[in-house]
Amino acid sequence: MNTEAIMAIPPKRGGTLLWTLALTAFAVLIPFFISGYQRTLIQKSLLWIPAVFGVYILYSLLRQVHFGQSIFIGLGSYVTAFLAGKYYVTNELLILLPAGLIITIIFAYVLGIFITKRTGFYFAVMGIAVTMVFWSLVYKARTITGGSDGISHIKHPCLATFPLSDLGFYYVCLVVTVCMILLMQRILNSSFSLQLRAIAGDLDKAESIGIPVKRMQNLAFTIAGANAGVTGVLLAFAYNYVGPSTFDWGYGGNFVQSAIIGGVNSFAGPIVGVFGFINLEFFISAWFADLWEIIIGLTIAIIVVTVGEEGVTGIAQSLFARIKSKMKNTKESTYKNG
Amino acid sequence: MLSACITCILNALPIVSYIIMLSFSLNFILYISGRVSLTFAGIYLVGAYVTVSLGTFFLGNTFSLPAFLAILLAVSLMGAAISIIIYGIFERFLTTDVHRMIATSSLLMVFSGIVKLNWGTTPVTYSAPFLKMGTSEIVGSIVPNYYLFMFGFAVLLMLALAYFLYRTTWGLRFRASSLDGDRIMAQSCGVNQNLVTMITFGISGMLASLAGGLYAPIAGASYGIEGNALLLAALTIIIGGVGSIGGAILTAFMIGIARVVTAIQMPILELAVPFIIASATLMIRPFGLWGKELKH
Repeated sequence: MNTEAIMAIPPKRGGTLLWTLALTAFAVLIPFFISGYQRTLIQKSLLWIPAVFGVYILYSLLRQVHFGQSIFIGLGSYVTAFLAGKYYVTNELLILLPAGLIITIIFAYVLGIFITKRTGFYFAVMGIAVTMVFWSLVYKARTITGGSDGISHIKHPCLATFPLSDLGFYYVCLVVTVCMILLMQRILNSSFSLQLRAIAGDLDKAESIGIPVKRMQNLAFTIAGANAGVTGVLLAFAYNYVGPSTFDWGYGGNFVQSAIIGGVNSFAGPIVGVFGFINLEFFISAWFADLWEIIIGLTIAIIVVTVGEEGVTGIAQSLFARIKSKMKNTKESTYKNG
Repeated sequence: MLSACITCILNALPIVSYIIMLSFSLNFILYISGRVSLTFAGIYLVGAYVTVSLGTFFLGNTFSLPAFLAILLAVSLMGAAISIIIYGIFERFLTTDVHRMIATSSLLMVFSGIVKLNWGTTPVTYSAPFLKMGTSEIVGSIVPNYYLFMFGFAVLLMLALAYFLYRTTWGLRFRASSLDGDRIMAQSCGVNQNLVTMITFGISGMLASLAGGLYAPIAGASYGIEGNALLLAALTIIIGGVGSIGGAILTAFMIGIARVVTAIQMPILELAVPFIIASATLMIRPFGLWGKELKH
């Protein structure tokens, strides 16, 4: 039914680890050479990466579009805003991260039962529907959530009782993101990922060889939601504000668009895609602020219609492969002639 | 009790006709050509804004039915043209459902960006038809005539569509290439698939822009209404099933009345109720209450 899903081979381990180390070293050193605003942009990109990996897992393994990533970002953000802002309990990251994670996992599991009931169009639409429902609930429950004003004045985070400066929080975000990337790589190399690929290939055949299809789909959805929950908790501290627009389905669509820019057939796709998307957002809103939606919409549409889900990484891979084969050919021809 | 029920149903009429037209706009493409296309929500948005602009420009505060119908005709032709053009130059080249959904949802952003450039983000209103048509009394409850006009318009459109699909030769060709029939077989029997898909997209655009145009005098046009339209249309398909006109109308009544009742009783759940109905439907009958198991 869907052969290209099976064609995508899991990434090799060694190369990715080297790349991760090099990029991490770069991200550790970069704050000393740039201004504070540029650092917040990099921090935002780093925080988006886990959420985009959630979209990536569902897209590259199950071939489903998940527009509802903003549900779990919103849930994580509001949990943080309640516990560290409005009804102040604690601003300890070691408590808030697990708390946000547990709540998003519970919600993702329960919603996953309904959302993963059918695939394709229905999956995407149920995701959109849930974001709208949460948006309207948060928007209308003015006494609890602050309505359209949202919640600001979130306390600065502290880690193991040490209060964090802005730079310190940047490093916390970096550590969390790198841990999530390594975890994602572990998941993509596991037998779980192969089972999901089998489900994407043919649902009935996968069921007949004994894969628990419904449970696996729900598990993948829960993992995606948990990723977004981590992003949400940290984004609330980074922005120091949470509003109902966090639940907007257009915001959830931004993560799909990031994944599409980067490409979903390679492990580096989400990382490249997030940095590409946020740079695009920054430059377009600096130069043509009014045209932002038109330009990004047309860009994504053109990318989808020309290269499909290959994205930037896919183009780069095929270019490298072509150059390699050309060099090989010239070598062989020189051997033949000599 | 009875009069309260009738008041609820009468007040639900505009939202019911809005849902009927929008959901069938999506349903028709899904059923006949087996494609997913979310651009109808953008066409709905543009239709609402264009109706408001044309109405305030030509009619202002006065109102005459023939002129309003002429504006609606112009808007519906515009919607059909936009839909066909986008299909012809863009959507034709998309190969899988996943690509179609991502690309058309990006096109929705383009539509709302264009609307933002032209009309700004402040809501615009044109309520002359709604105010000037007067009211009438049905079994003790007062209802604006515009509600009845809108509902009548939607039902007439659906009847015309049903007549076209089930009683004419062209309708037979459409049904032969739909999900119920067999596309390749129809093509080998001489049905021009390109033409059929093109007309399908045209009818879908017409329905979407008419939904915008008819609902604009009641609710006005504001930036960001397309999300709600997309949500209601898609949930109606989940509940009603693909490809049944009667199912779409019944589901629209169900959602519309449920929304009106919750908007009065507990406004916080107004948007959640259609979602709850849809989730329950997915658990009981995954292919919709009136739908068949199609190979989509």
